[in-house]
Amino acid sequence: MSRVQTATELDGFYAQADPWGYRTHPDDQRRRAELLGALPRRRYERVLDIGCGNGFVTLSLPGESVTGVDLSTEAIRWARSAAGEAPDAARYRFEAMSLFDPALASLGRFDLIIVTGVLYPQYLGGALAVAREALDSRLDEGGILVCCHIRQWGIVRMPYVRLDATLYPYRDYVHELEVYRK
Amino acid sequence: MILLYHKVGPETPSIWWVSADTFDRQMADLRSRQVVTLDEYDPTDPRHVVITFDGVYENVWQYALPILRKWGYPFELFVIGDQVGGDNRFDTVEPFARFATVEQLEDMARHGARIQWHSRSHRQMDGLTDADLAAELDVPSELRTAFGSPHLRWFAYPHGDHSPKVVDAVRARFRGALSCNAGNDVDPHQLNRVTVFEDTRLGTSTVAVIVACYNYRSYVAEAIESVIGQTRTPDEVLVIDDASTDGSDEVIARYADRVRIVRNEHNLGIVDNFNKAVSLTRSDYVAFLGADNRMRADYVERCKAALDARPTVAVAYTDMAIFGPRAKVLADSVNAEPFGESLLERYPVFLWRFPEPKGEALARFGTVNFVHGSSMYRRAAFDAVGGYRASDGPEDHHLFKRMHDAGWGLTRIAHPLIEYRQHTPAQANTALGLQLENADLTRLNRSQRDSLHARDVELEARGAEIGRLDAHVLQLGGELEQARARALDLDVRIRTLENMLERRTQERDEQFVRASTMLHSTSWRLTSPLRLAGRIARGDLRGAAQIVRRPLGRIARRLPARLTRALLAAIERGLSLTGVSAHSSANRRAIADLVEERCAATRSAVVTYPPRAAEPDEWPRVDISVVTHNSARWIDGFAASVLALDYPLDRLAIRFVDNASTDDTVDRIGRVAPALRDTGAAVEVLRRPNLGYGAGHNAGIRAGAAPYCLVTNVDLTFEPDAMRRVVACAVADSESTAAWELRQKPYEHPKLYDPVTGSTTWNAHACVLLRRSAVESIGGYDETLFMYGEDVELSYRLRRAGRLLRYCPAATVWHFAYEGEGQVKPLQYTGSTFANLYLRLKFGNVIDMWAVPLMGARLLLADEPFPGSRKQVARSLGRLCRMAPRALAARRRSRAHFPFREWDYELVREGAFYEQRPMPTDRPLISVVTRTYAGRELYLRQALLSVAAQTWQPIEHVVVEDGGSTMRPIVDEVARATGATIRFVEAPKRGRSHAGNRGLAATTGRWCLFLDDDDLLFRDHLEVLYAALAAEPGAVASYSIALEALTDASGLRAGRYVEQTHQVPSSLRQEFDYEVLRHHNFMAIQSVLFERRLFETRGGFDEDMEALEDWTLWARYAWSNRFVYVPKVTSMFRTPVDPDVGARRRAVLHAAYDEALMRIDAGTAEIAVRHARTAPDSGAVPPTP
Repeated sequence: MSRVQTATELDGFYAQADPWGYRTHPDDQRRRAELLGALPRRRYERVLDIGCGNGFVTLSLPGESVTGVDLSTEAIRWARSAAGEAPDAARYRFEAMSLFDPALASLGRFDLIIVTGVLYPQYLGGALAVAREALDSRLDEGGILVCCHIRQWGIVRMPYVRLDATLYPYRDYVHELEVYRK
Repeated sequence: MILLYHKVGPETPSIWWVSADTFDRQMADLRSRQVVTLDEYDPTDPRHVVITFDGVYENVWQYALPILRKWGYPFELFVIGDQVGGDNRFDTVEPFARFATVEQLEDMARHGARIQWHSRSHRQMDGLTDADLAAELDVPSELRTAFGSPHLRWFAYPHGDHSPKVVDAVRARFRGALSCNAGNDVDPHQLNRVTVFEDTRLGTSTVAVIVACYNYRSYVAEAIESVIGQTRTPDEVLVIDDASTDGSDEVIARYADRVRIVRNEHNLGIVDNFNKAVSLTRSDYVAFLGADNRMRADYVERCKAALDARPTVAVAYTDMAIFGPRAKVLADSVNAEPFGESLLERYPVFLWRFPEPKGEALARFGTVNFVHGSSMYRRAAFDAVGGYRASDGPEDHHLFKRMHDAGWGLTRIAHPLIEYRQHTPAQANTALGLQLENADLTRLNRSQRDSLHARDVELEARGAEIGRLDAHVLQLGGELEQARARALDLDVRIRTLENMLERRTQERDEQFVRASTMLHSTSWRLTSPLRLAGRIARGDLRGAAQIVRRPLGRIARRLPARLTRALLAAIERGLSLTGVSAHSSANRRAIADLVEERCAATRSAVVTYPPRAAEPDEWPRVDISVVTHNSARWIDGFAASVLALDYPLDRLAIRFVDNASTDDTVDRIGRVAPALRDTGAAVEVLRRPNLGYGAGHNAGIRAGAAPYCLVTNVDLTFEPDAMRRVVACAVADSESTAAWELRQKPYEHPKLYDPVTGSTTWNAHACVLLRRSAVESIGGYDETLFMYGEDVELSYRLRRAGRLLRYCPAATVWHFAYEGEGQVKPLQYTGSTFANLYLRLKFGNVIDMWAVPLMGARLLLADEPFPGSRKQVARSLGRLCRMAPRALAARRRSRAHFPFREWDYELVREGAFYEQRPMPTDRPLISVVTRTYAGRELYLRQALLSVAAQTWQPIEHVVVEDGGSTMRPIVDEVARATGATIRFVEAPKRGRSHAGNRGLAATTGRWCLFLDDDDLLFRDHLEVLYAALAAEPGAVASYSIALEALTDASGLRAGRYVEQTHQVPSSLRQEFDYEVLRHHNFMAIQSVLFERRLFETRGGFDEDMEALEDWTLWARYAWSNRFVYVPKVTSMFRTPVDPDVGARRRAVLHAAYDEALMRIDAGTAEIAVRHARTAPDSGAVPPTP
């Protein structure tokens, strides 16, 4: 099994605001558009973005309050500064936190959770079951879960009814976007 | 069985770690057992299991607790008192880990954990003193307080050490104790424990999932992935392809590394196929999945747990989610409840709940099925009832019914674990299916691209060496090219300097002539006192003396001194008082009036338009007044041209007014009269004393009664259509128009006229059609003027009376007034100068009048242009003095403005002496392309009219709008009003160059011309340009000079603009020279008539250019070709008057210069190469026309 990546390593990448060029790469523009386009049309109150990075997608999400979490404190620092410039800055909250951190429970429960680029072996190791439980404990009954991952890095399904799925090219890979309802 | 765990986490760095996922699977396997607390534990019950942790580490709280909560199991935590909240730094072999804190232990206690004791410091127990042992075994009171009953009743021996002394001490303090080393199942204080490792398997039941595919190529990948993605991976996955014919096998083959694939050679049908599939697997539990459906990710986990927990149950069935394009159809029929919606594929998703297996439902199970075919069942039951069998109903229902009949139980899992697709076979191509295929193709494409890239890299390496050599060659070539370019630039510079030198030399000569004229002129002499005063003021006494010497001598020679002083003083005072100028301030206003009239006439839709008006049903009668005086030699030609007119001659009455000829003029008239009369024309000769030209015509006009009078010289001949054309114009024109002047050839009168309305400030009366009522209402010609100027006088008087005057170049006469260009005729000299001064008195403003004595004085004192001129001038000035009171009395207030330009009147169109040629009979089609855009109504209408009024026909006019069709109504309207052929082309908004190319592409004429919508053509533009081409075989284009109007267009949208000045930019006066053209443009875009073939062979504008695109085009067209230069003003273009706009425009042009120059060189180089490669004539345009 590949070694699990640490927060310190991620912080290394996040010495700059946008290490992977999300804000400029057309594939990331598409990724965001695909995701926003696939969200079931309903009113969201509490939204959680797991693996929010610098907030590239987070700052476009609907919801009365939007919380972004990421393993990297540096990424969260960039996300907070980007949110500070947004006209609706008050909607956003960012926390440096692991999906495995029991403190995640302190954020409360959500009616929409986005998981982008998190459910990979290099982040989760052999603790996928714990990750599923963590997500399940944060998701309201009837809530929506959206997963967005590179197919070539593994197929991970979530134990909810799948409403939608789509595939689109992303950089050197194919992205799989799935929408579940609990 | 008591299980012992130490650490749980994402990774397993040592054997004391179990990964969270393995832990989850081990917990799942315990569903077939009963997980109990130690208090409940019965060592003799083989189903009892206790889960214990020693340590206890923080990672148990982080990773094990969520899974234990998920499964709802109780568990036991054996804590080491000293380590609570600490870490394992003492353990140098193991990776760093923290121990759980009291708070974390409390959290776990709230979720099923019981806290137990694992000694205070985890020391070796054997050999301790009683006190030390007690210290190890006694639970500190604060911990007891935190964790009261039922906690801390059990003990776990450190290092598994349970020697009798220790066991006794433990027995006294705890309800029971566990050892990981040689315990037993009998003594509660020495119970055995099993240490669990990563590879420990706690359950025995296994699961096989069978994906059955028959022609579900588009869905099977989704089905397989839903199995692979299960939270509990099945032990076996078999994909059985029942001989699909749609290529399903190709898709299935991609999963060969993860699933087992069996393909039937022949289609077996459901029963045989299913039985075969089951026989190919070995697992305890079997579940089928149709290849068009999906398993929810927790299907296996939940179904297996259900069967594990209930050994007598054979079938675990689930609820379903219904999806797919026909989901609603099924949902409606089974009352499934709405659950969600697929946004991407636009179908609703429903939840279909099945009844619990009891009561009425179970009683009716034989007839009403509620156990779907994708239920998980026990192989033992399957074998016992003999597998799938052919039956009337569904084979799966039949199987499950037989299991039920044999006494096996059913269980329902109340979750929609199967996603059941509703579709028709025709809907097999879902977007997702295609996307999956696409994804795989993308991967394949990438690997091939990678290998291509590798080859590219190799090629590149070899290319690099070649590149180095090439670079050297290129460098040498570049140096050569630079040297050539320098030489060429020098060449151009030499030519330019030569041109400049020539011009300067000419200017110097002119200046010299002018200076010497000035030095000898009266004004120079008269102003020498001023210069004298200046010299004296500066102290230059010698200079002053020099000035004084000559005039003093001359005056002394000629006049009495007193008179001299008085005269000088008077002229000096006159000059200083009035600021007199020979050019009137009315000049600009007169032109402004023309422009204002043009705007007013074109501000709204044009209904009819005189120059192209339809001919009248009945031609009106016309009186022709011809004044003769010793004109015998002109009579025959004049009469012959009248006879050749295509006008109905019986509508003409010709009156020859002979002003006392002394030659045989009257005889000649008598000789031609019969032929004229034979055609029905009336001919009359009026013999009078010679009272002047105007007086003669007055008599001629008075003698007739026709509504129109043609006043004409006799020394001319008519073009056959001249009369018809001028009368057609007159008939169509408004009542307020009084005169229509015919065009003279070969030397056109150089007056400025309005290119759109044809209006002018005065008419030359060599040949002009007058409206009788208008002329009579102002009493005809002023007979004071003997000859010359009477036409200006009549024109000014008509305009003063509110009449309009037109110039009508469509009607042409050949006038032989001059023997050659530049000839000065004595009679004209005195006659016209007198008239000018007389008109100034009659029509001029105060300053124009003040100029009269000064101009008269100057004329008197000027050098004689011919012998005896001064005497004649003196006589004429004397007459002026006599006539002055009458002239002044005839002044009237008027809104009209009357221009005076020194001895002339109107602004002159340069090119008066450019010889015009006859109109060819065989006229090719000329295409005019106009680029326009939204909001240009006024400009465009005027441009279209200036084309419609051309003397040249036929014309094809193509109007291209850059980005829209807002100007189409203007085009339609002008086409209707004028009968002109105008086509509208709508171009996408891609800039002027693109629009130009679109327009050019739409043309069909052999010759083309651009006329941008804000430029205007004088009426002879195309005729003159074509004539120049026709005269020079081999030329591919001709161009003329153009008038530049400095225009204030700020009111354009309101339908007006102001032209402030008019002049010809000196850069346009340039004979054709390709090298000069390569250096700068000297052709206004609308002034070039070029052969369309150039567009075909050399392309159009560079579409990415917004400035200087015309220059690069001309340069490309001109390379190795010849253009003809016409030194006559035949068109007009605008430059903005706003200095800021002008500056911006200049900045844009300046910025574009280098780029344009580069393109010119590149473009011509390309043509040259093509030219060289192809047959000799295909690249160049052959001689024309």
